[in-house]
Amino acid sequence: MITSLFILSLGGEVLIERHLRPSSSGRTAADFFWAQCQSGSENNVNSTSSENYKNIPPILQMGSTYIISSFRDSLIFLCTTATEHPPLLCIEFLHRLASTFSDYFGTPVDDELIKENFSTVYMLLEEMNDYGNPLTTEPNALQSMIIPPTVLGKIQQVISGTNNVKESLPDGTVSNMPWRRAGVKYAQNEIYVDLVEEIDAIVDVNGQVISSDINGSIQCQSKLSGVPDLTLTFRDPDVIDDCSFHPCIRYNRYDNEKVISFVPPDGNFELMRYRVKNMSRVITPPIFCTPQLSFGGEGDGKRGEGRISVLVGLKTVSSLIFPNQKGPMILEDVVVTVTFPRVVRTANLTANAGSVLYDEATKIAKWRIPKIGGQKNVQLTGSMVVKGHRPEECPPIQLEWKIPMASVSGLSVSGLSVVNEAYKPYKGVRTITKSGKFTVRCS
Amino acid sequence: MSSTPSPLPNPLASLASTIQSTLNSSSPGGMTGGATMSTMSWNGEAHYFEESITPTTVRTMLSSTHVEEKIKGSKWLLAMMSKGRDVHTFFPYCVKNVSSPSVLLKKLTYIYLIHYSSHPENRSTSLLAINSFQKDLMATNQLIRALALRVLCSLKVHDILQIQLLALKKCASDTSPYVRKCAANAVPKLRHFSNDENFVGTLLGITIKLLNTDQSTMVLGSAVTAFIELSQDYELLHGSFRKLCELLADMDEWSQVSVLGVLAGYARRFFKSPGKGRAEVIDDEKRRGRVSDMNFVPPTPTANPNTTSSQNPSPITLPPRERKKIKRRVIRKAFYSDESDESSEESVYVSSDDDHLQPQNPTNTTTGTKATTSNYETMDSDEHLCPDHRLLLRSSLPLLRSRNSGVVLAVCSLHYYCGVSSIPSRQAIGKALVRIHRDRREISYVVLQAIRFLVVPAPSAFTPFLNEFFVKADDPGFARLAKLDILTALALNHQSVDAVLRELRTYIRHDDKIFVKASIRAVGRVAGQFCRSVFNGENVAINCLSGLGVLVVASRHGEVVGEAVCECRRILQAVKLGGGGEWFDHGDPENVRTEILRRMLLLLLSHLGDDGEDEDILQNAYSEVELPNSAVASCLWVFGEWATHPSGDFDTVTKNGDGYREEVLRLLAKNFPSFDSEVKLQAIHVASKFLLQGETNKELPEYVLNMGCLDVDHDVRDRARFESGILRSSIGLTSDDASSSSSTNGGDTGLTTASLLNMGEDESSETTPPPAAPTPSPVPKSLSREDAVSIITSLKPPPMTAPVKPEDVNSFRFGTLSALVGQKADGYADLPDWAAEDSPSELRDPVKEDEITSDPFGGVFGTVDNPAPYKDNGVGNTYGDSSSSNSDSDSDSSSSSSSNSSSSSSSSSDSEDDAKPKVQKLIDDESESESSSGDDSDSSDSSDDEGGGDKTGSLLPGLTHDPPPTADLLLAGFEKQAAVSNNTNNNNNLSSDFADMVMAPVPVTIPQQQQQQQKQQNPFPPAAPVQNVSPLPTISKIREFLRPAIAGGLSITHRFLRNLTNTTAASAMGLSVNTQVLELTFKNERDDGGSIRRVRVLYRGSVLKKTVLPIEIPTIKPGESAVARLGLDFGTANAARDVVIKFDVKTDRGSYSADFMVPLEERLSPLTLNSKIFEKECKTLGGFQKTKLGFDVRAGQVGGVWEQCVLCANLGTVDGGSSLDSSGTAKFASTMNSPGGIERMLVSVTVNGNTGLGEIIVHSDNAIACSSLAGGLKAGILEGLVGGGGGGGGGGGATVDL
Repeated sequence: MITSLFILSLGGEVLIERHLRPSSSGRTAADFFWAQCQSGSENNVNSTSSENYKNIPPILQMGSTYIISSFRDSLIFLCTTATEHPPLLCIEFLHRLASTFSDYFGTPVDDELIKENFSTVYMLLEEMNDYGNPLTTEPNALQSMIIPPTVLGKIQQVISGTNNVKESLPDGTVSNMPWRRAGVKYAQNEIYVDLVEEIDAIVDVNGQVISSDINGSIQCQSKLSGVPDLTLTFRDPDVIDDCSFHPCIRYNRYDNEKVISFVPPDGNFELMRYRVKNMSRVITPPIFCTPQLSFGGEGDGKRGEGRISVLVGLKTVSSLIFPNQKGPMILEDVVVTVTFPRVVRTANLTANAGSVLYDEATKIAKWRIPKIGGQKNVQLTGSMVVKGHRPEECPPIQLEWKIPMASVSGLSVSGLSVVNEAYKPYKGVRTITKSGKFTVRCS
Repeated sequence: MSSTPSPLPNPLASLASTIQSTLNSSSPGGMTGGATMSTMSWNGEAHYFEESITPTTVRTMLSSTHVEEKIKGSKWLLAMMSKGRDVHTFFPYCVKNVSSPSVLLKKLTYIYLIHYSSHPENRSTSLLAINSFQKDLMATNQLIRALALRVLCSLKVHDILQIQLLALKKCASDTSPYVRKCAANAVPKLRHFSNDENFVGTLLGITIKLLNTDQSTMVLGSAVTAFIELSQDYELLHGSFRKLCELLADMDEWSQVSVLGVLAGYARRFFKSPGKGRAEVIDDEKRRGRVSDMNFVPPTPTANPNTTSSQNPSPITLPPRERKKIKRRVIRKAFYSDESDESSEESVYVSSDDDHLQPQNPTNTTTGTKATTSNYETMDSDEHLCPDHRLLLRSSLPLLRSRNSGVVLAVCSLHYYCGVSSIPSRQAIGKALVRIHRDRREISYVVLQAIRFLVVPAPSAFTPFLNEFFVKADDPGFARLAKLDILTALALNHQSVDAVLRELRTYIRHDDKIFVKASIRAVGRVAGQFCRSVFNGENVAINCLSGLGVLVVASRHGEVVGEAVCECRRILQAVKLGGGGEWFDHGDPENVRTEILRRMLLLLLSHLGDDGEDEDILQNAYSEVELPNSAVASCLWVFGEWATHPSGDFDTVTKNGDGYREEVLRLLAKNFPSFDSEVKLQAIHVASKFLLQGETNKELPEYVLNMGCLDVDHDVRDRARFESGILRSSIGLTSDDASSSSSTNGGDTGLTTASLLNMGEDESSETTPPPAAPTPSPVPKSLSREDAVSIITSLKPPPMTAPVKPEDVNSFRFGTLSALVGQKADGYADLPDWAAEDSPSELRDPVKEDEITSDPFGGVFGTVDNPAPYKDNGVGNTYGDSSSSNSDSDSDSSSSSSSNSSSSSSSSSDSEDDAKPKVQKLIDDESESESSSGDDSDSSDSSDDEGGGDKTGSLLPGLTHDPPPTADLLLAGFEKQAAVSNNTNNNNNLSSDFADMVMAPVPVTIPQQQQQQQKQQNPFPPAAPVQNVSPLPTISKIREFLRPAIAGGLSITHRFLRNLTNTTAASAMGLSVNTQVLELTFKNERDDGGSIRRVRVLYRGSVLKKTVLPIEIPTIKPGESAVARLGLDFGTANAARDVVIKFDVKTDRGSYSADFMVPLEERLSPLTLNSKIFEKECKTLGGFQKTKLGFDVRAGQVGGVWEQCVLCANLGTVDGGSSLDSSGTAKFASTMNSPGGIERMLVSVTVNGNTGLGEIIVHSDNAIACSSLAGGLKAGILEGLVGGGGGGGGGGGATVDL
């Protein structure tokens, strides 16, 4: 049972304040939280805002009030509760709020957007929560009550003086399928299915994979009229070890036949998530990254200096499976994040491809490479100025990348059939593999 | 529009927006020209935050005649509220806008109103809005009604409490489930306004009524949430328990969490403990095995649940009913335990209808492993649980797949605390938690804490995922620390210890020093646990030591070095303890230990000598590191042990042992006053050891002791006095005259050897020794030197640093707020202890069907918005004040229900009849008053019936045992079929049926339509259709579709879905009302063991209007089976005959044709009638419209006739009967679609209980259908009872494996 809800900007400004249950604390919870954030940053000298929110525990205690926080995009969502209540419910609710705002106002939602649409935000809060208990949280149901603002809609509003609350409230909200809007009509019926697989891995300095894990999700965009009943079948459903479903999926069909049978929501949604069976073999990621950091020692007269070199390239032999490969494999959107040890004062970095951005305050360098092909490897080199001794620690490097049209698990869609509606929709299925939490250790 | 955030700095932006807003107000039609950008920006709302505005302007806006202006004014107010300004003074201006027709304005106003209504100045003003709310409560749009209720109940104004309550009651019986949901949500709102007992009782009554009668998942979830805030009285949930379990999967995710939480408490309270499962036994073993390495403090296994719970007798005392008393053997111990056999025989009550509760066989535990393995199977099955308990567990398990992590965690918690700790269930929990721990930062935090808790008692659930808990680069601090604890707890065997230590080695070079210190402690913990184990030829502890030793040299971080030193000390201590006192020669080829000891000595010297004096004998290498006190203390302890060890190792290693000893003592003596207490304590200890050893010069140690005796800190003083006392009485001290004199007479401490020894054991705890006795003891006994040595240098276990402190483990349920903050939050309640015995399952029989059908919102499925649902007659009184409930006094059950609602609300205190569940009482009141005030004629009928018939009228399901509960009948029904068809594959039976009922979208509109159709077309008075609480089977018999012999090993059987299950399935397929859905079971029965691929069913023919065919089945492996649904829409085809439908079944092995018949019996829709109407109708039908058929069954099987009838044909019951009546007659009614409209079929079956001779009479307008149905029924009865070889009896024994 949530007592109060706040939305704060990263600067600590309270954008939205809503008391769902009578509470005497008013705004103090938000102030308390902000004070915690501030004190956190004092303790941790060399990190700024986002870094140091990261270490604020999601649940804080202020007297007999508990403050549950969540960071999304560039907003802080807070809720307070005074009584025992499943904390995950509050957290999930805050995230649901954030996702709803993204649906309504576009991503990423920031303080400007919230201010621009604050009355819609208040109305959404009103619909989504009733006296601290979640009420209507399905995007489709919400959208049929409060129309999302669009550019076109805004112009129309100005011209005709209408507003974005439906004057005649729909009955569809309370249907047996709360996730689907009633009376959907499209001239062109389309459904797109994306299989996104993420590789989580820890790679040690020698390039050995210490731990790896594959998680996938199926993202859909449905533009189908009426009430279509879809059945998605996989070529090899056995690779799925464990999964979580959107409420629209019929659990028992999956249990019995390993097919995904569902009536989809309208628009974008995440159909399911899955974990791939822990294969006995270790996964070979399609990318390699060899970092080398060296610091001058006492003896060689180079005390206070250091050198860095990071070599990144495509590994042609990997665990990836290409169902229908056309052309060479290409790594896209590669981002190498190097966090320098604290003792490093400055760093001077150059790369033979992509762009490097070094932030003096956080000591984080982000090296973005739009594309890496098979032939050449790209390298980042640079020198550092170190104050004091050579650092003991060497923070790990984070890698981001993606490869379209590839799959790690080999899971592929063998069929997507629509019953219940006469039309033949256009069906698009893609796979994409990308990095999840990909860590390369330097030592 | 925010895609382009304004680049302007704030003042400029505000200026710009001011200009734009002035533009806006000055030229309302200013959208000429193509200035889209400007249009967009001045339509944004950010300017409300930036500009200031005078109160007068806002007032004018709010009072304006233009809605647009009013909206603008309201937005101003909201913006001000966001900025934290108090704008309550505008309340009177705002209240007026409540009645505006504009929904937007209304909503904005509501938000403002709720925020400020509790403001003292506004209380009276808010009354102005009441009228408008009441008007809205009558609105045709359900959302408006709901909104009005929500806001009305949020106003905290005492004067309107009664109005609020009235509105709440009215909405609780609304036709729209959404409104009812909001009503349920409003219950806690009102709850907080008043603590009046009667008032709360009324609210509870409303909630329980919703729980018991409502079928909408939407409402049930909220009702449960409301219930949590009202009461902890799980007894009130009896009536809705099964329904909640069955509908659980269909509720929204938020409700699921509440329901799971409540049902966990319910399960503990009313079911007995399932006992230990296999996983738990194994885990206990693992932990014990590991801990025994440490040689101390074996974990006390969790107390035997049986013994603890038996102190808590079941609070339910029901009058004894027919139960079998059986002997069964109860095994009370873990299987690996060495204790003697504790299994005993005890009498257990087994209710007669629970056949599967019979003990499997007395298991023999005295013999070895064979019995154990067979026991494992029984331990892991949940067959021994009460069926309701099992239902809860099984219906909640699929929710592990929820996308909402809160639900997943709640399921895990339910299964951990209330389930069988079987291997599959623990595995599922582990897997699901590992899956969701990867989610967002905050979720990950909660889940990691839960895993951190669970990994201690149940490590095997997480062992396969060890690598998942390695720390990644972007883990926040709290996640890193939790992962460390998890990793250490998972270090249980060679490989995992290896992997964990390798990880820890990288962590100790992390950036975050708090994490580094925790990692070092983790190393110590792992090493301590495995100090004697040798893996791959290396001693784990030695390995760890060498790693830490490197750290001690390499790190320049004082805290880190300190922590490492402390851990080294702990490991040394553990090794010494484990190795039986051996210190220095432990098969340690590389002299790791010696190296460590030397380093610690050097550190100590450098630290102690840090005050400027340069020590020649040291290389001053560590001077830049500031050691924490605990580390210095550790070094001192180690030094003391080492330097006084009789082996002389110290001298060999250092080559100048005495020099070092002297030096350390000198430094100790010199700097003693400046030490921290912790160091002082160790300094005293070292001094005592030297004195005991007696080789060195005694002056320095004695000096140190004396300093200690005079210290300001009492702990130090006490310790010093204690130790010098011992020394005095054992070896005598020289310098302290007073003491030495006393030591000669040996008495003034008054300490005897025994008492000192006792204290010595507890020496690590720093309690003050008992004060010296004031009088010298009469028999002074001097301590021997050996005694003193054993006291002062006895072995002590290293301090424990378990990952989760044992007291944490049992304190709070994991996943709760309290567990996360480590302190009891308001409203936290521990789970109750297990009941000693399962409570009788009759308690949970659903509330009677009659009650549901006769209740005023009978169309519980209805969503169709009835334009005029309220005539506002007695509805408000429905729940009745005590005075207005004029219940008919002739009815049996009303004797208790005539006690008015006020007594019902306080019935917790006084209940005349203990056996009667409290809820029942509440419900009785409600239903009685309802039926008496109900406005349709039908309800009076039904209330008559209630009064008349003992069977149907009894409202006390706990006391009667007539209608079997729905679930049981379903079960029984199915089991029979399973036996008949010899279907060995049970994957797709009961679970899928329940699941279907639950999973598939609940048909919301269809039954309503049916009902309406019937109302329109049926000539006789309206009767409610059978709801899904009916005891009728929801599936038909299994019949053959395709024989394996002709289809190359592919066997297909089919059965018809009925009633709600059918409509549910049909609506899921998108078929209309007049539809029959079949469930096809495909089974591979190939002899050669090959797979059958690409199985598809094609329709061949034109009889049907529409068919929905199952999708292609890719593969059926041998022995596997698959279930699919086939929907047939008959349209208006002539239904009087059996329709033959042709299908082709194609597989990779060929194409086969399958013709099958939809018998008339399956194409009926059940109808509920009361017997008066039935008789009346029968009389009007005669001649051709009546068919009579005789049959003959064995006399003993007469009881099964009723069931065979409903099994064979889709019939509704008359008077809700569920068996033959006293005269051996059963009456049924159904309707049938035919081209001429809906026709009724009235069936009565009479059978003579002595001879077994019976007669079927069918009345119907349609003569063909008449005879056809009679024939079908006869065949069905004979097949089921005579031909089927007692299938009914055998069915009970079949097990259902879900």
